[in-house]
Amino acid sequence: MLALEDLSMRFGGLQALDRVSFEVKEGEIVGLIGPNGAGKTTVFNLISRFYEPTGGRISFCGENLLRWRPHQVVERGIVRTFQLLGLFPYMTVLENLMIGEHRDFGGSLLSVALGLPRARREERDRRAQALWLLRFLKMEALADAFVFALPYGTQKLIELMRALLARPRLLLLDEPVAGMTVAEKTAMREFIRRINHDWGITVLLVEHDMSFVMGLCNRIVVLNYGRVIAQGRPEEIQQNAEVIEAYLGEGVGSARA
Amino acid sequence: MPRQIWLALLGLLLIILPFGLKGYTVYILSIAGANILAAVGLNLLMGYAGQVSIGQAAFLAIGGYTSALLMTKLGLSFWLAFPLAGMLTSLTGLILFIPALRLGTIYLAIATLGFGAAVQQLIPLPYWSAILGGHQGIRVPRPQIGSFVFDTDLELYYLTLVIVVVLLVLSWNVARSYIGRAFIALRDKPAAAEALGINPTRYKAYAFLVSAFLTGIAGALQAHLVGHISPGEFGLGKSIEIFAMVILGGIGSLPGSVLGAVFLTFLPHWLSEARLLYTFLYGAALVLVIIFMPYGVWGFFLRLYYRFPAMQKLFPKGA
Amino acid sequence: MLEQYIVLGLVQGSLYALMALGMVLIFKTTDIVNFGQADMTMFSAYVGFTLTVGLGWPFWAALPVVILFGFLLGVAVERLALRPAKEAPVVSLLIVTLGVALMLNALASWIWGFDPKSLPYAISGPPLVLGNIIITRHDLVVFGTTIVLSLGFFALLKFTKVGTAMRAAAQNKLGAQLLGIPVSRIAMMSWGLGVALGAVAGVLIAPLVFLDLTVMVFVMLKGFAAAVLGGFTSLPGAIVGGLLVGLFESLLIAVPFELINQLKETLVFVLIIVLLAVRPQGLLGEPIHRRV
Ligand SMILES: Nc1ncnc2c1ncn2[C@@H]1O[C@H](COP(=O)(O)OP(=O)(O)OP(=O)(O)O)[C@@H](O)[C@H]1O
Ligand SMILES: [Mg+2]
Repeated sequence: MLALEDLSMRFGGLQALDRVSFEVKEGEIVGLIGPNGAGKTTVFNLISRFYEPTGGRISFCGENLLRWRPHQVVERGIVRTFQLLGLFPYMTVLENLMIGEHRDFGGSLLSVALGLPRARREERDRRAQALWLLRFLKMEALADAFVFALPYGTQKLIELMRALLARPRLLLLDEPVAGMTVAEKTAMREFIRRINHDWGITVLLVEHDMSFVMGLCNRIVVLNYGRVIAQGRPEEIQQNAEVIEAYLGEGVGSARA
Repeated sequence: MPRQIWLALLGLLLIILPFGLKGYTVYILSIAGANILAAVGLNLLMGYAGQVSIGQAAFLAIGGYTSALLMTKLGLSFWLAFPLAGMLTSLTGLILFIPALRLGTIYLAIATLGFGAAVQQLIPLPYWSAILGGHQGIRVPRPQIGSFVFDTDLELYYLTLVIVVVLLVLSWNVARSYIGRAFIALRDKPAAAEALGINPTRYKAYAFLVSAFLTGIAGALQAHLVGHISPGEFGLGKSIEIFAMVILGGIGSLPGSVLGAVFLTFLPHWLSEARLLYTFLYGAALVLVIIFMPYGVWGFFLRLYYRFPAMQKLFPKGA
Repeated sequence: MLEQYIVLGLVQGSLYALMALGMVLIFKTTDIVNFGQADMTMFSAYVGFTLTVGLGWPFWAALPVVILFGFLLGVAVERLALRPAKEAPVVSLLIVTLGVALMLNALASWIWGFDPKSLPYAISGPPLVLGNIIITRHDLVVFGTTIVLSLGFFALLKFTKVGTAMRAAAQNKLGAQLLGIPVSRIAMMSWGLGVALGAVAGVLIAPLVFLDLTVMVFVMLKGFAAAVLGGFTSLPGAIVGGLLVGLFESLLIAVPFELINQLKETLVFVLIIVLLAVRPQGLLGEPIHRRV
């Protein structure tokens, strides 16, 4: 579904990614791991088209992804979340979710300004859809809360919900459980499994919590200093000497709380 | 529904307001109406979409001259010339600034600044003084429907009231729609906004279009109220004044812009005895307001609102 | 003839360069575009007027006092108006600088009135003739001062502790703070230096024009244009941008079409917008990888 070939990225004197190649197949949950600064977020930023790679190719469902601008990537079905929360803090939860539905809005500027029935209906339907998802997760009480006032874990979950409302085929999650309690992490793992299994959404995720990654992913890709040093099933990765080496500096497994 | 009641009371107040007032005060109120449109226009651009324009006075000028000339030279009726003035202003703005919109905030700021200087320099040139009237400017006809001419302060006030209310409702609709949300998203976290499919150039262009339209209409309205238009009115000072209305009222708040515009329209008239003192106090007020009410007067009200539950009872949420 | 216009353009341009340098410095360390630069410059120039014409001081005695005045003015603006408003969004801080500008404008008209003033040249004496170029001694001073000041300024940034701290703060505010660099003192210094640069430009321009309450606005606009042209965060860019704007403007005067002469202000902006469309980061600005 998604294929990276020899992808490289340079920032000034820093080679952030060096000929990275890996693939994500339809229906998989793939983990992208590596120590701090390994280049994981940079991979996401390249897929989102925020950066122009200094070398290599990215293709999605056989199409060349590098032809598109960031806002067009989502139209192809790739939606992401951000490591440092991409929520809009001065909007309510519901408004944030409705931004996730942005591409389903089509009313013209004029019809919106005049408050024509079509624009009103569209607004009402989208709102209902967002509320449905909130109710599905038993969070409808939060609909009108301002996002900046909510706990971090809740915000992470809302960002994931917003991504889902954008109807992804491939979901990119950057550290989805960072800062969550153990119970929240377990709930999140179940939720991601469900998204993948019941809703048929392919997932590529970055996460430092090793037990979370090992317990959830079908396959894992390990980055270190911008290079892929290993990829395979979780059991294989846990045995891999080079991976253990890469993590030793930070204390195996719990790279970052 | 309490909200409807408040709005109805406010509407009633605005209708009976001019009866206790001097004719001149009523006239200044109408001018405030034109300024409200200009301030709301800038706020949608700056407070919502995060794009800074320092050349709004140029759009006022374009709107004013266009409406006047369409009436006097082409013989169009007020009802045609007036909205056309807004549309032509926004079209001009859009064509000129699409390249700048793709760049960062500072670039739009300088492009609009240069545009403001250019328009003020171009209008009085001798080549077209037969049409534009040079430095002296031109006379602007009074608004007219059929054979009814709006020419007293009171008639002009009610005309202004209708125009301002209608356009405020339209602006409010846009601000509360998916388009308004896209503006705020691009302002607060441009990367996240794009990653959700919001096309930055397109929505910045929308913001610019709406802003230039409202400002063009404001300029036309002002010209018709004053009955005259000349390039001297549209200097950098005027752009800064509109800017200040938005900031004082609170960036990103439409009701705030309304308050800011009314306040700054009346302030010079209250202080007109002492011009120097006025300039000084005006400057000092800008600095002090931002120090003590960083989110403007409206933001200050809101903070009071959340601090004192009594106010929340008086004005229920969402009002 | 062309050489003459080039020389005049470079002289004019070096004044824009000083203005741009001041604005870029302030922007780099504090993220604020100083829209009050014009009035701060105007006010400093009036102080120069009082010293030279009012008190009869020689130009070279007045210059350091004006520079000091500009520095203190910048420091005062930062301490008294901007620092207390730290909580406000950046756009609002622009308005603070405008508010200060209005206050200075009112004060100046109070003290010096509305009549235009003229200031003496830095050096008097007959103009110099080099081949077919005529250049006044004052023009030479303008050019020389710009070169000396920019070199001194870069030396300050490169070789002093304050300079290193300023560069660090400009690169990464949070990082600098973590390293124990007093970011707020740096902001104060930048404002002081930035406004002082404007003050120098002010006393050098004033003899060339009639000093009144608004002339500096156009100088600031072109300084601003120069800064954007140079990349807005690049100090050498500000200087190159200033010289180019001056040159371009001067060449427009050389064109024998009246319309073009009348529109030179407009055309300067048109040029800059076109250049930016081609090269968005300005001439010497670095391409930006936004951080996500
Ligand atoms: N826009 C940028 N400009 C310059 N350098 C960058 C930029 N973005 C990332 N880098 C650098 O590239 C390297 C890789 O960064 P990246 O954010 O991809 O790491 P990561 O694997 O996501 O780390 P973490 O686990 O801490 O999130 C780092 O050294 C970082 O400083
Ligand atoms: Mg990361």
